[in-house]
Amino acid sequence: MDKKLRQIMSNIFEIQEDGIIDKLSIETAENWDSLQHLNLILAIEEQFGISISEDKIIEMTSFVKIKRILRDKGIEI
Amino acid sequence: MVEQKKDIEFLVKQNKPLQACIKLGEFINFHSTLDNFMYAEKIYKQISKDLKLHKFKIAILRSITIEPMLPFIKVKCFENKIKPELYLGDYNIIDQEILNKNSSLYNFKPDVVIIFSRLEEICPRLVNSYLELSSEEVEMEVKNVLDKIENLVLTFRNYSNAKVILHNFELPEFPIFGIIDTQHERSQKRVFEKINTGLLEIVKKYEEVYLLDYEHLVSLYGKKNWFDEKLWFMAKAPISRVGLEALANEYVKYFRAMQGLTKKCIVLDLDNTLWGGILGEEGIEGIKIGHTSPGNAFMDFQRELLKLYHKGFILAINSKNNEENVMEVFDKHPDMVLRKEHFASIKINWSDKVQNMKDIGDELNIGMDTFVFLDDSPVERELIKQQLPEIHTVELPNNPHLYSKILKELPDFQMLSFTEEDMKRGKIYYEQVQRKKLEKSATSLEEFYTTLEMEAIIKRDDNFSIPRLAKMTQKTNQFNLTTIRYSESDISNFVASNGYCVYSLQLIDKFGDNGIVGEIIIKENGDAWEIDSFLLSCRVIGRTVETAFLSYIIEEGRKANIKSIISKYIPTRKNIVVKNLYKDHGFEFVKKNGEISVWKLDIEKFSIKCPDWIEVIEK
Repeated sequence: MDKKLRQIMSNIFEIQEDGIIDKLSIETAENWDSLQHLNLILAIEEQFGISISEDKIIEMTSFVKIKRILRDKGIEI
Repeated sequence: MVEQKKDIEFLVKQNKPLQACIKLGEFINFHSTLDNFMYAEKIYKQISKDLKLHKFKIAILRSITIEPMLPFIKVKCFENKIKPELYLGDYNIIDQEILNKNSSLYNFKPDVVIIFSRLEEICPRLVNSYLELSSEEVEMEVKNVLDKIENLVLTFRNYSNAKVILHNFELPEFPIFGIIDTQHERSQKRVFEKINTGLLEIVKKYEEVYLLDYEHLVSLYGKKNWFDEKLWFMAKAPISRVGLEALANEYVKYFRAMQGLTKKCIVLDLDNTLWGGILGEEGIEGIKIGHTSPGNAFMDFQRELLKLYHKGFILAINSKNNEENVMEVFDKHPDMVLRKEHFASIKINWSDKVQNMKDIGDELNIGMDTFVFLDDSPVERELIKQQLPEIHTVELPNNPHLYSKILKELPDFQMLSFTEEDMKRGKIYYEQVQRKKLEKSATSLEEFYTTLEMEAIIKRDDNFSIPRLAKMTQKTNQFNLTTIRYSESDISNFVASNGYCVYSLQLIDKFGDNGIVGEIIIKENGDAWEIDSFLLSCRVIGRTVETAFLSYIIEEGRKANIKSIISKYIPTRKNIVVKNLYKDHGFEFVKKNGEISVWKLDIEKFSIKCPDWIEVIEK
């Protein structure tokens, strides 16, 4: 169910989809800087048709955290 | 989606870059999300070296965060056959980069620089504390902004010849006096408009500085959709996802035009493209074109095509039909907007459209890479895409109500200037085809020339022709002896100077006015004249106009007590047609400087006879 999210992160961080694992985070991913974070947020909002609040944006710093936040917003992932 | 990506990557591995491009284009068209644009950018980078692309160095100076726009710009460049090299100025230091001639902006040596400044940053008082300013202070602010921008443009021009795209300013989303603002004597919106009018005055003064109508673009998409409050306050990135892509599109329209990628000819299918229904089955009364839906959508589409015709684009038909029935529609149907004389080339038959396309190219003497093809049939479109990928085949939607809109949105017909000459082109090409038909029916070449009833109007140092003459030096490749490119200011310097003469030749014949089609620039050198440039438009090659022109120049030289004419031929890949021009006109070979050959004609002894069939008129 997390396929779409994997695709987004794979496209943005230029990592193969099977490399998108739970512990992938802003610390471990080479390309994950503040500008790519902005792209990530724009892409997620676009893909799932949602708006993410500032505190959540700041929290979304790993694959597992992003999934949790999206689930909290009612997205099946 | 995963399958499509696998297909694309497979084609890349197979070393089939063109096919990969087509698939990538379809993929992005279908799944146009930001992350997919980033994916496409990665693929394009891998294959760009194997594609024939125009390199283009783009610098963007900005006062806000626009980084998320870059994937859109890059991918859209690649889609339009441009290989972008991007320089993004640091956040909000537009002035420093332009005013310091050692800045990394100038080190980058851009071909084009985009100056995207906003009133919020360049003049915050007009935005944030408008009511605290007196009317006089507002006036001062307006003057200061305009002076500041003019100074930036002027300084940039001093340090660089790159083209400039300057944004105008967005009018306030919520003007300060609300519903009464435009009427109020201190209207904020009208002050912003005044600044925008001032910008127009600035760009007029400089060559190759273009004003991007940002206000118009934003209102086209709606100010409410354009602005993203959250990203603005969090990341100083005020433009929404929708806006980023729209603005990238707009930039690429300029880049295309700057790279000379503007299309020239629109090739059209008939059934379900120019009218609804199938003529062969439903007959002239049955086809849908008229004042009710969907006939009115087709009428509107034809009206849009007619506008393009009047802007100088060439229309042509490539259709499987019976020509006789189609001509009846053009002649008799009361609701047709387009008529036969609007089409320079008509191919209506049952042969395949690829061959017809090639025939149209031959008949008009233009490359198929200048064609746009509009056809409702996905099968025909696929055929042309596969066989003639240089043609832009447009994905027409199933719904004819959208045809006009699709046409208006295409980037293919954007130009950076429209001269009177350009606007006549559609008609000129139609006449050209009529001439060719006459040529086929004439029994000898002399008879053909005579029946053309040609008149050449030659003018010397005519100020009104300067834009056209500059454009000719920039665009003419075939009949061009030296292929030296000149700007408008170069030509006007020649016109004003004593050491140079600029001659233009306008050709009129029984089919109409061809406009200015010939140009000779003479450089005076003691008792000799040097032909610096000699060029003819490709549409009049092979009609002995060059002989009449040279003959006239020699007479002019004699009047000025000139003893000889010196000329040069500089070969290029495209000007083989004039290789023997001077030899054929009796010039004597002088010497060779590398590839360049130098020729001389002693005009005290020799003349060139003007052909009987061309009447030269001096003005």
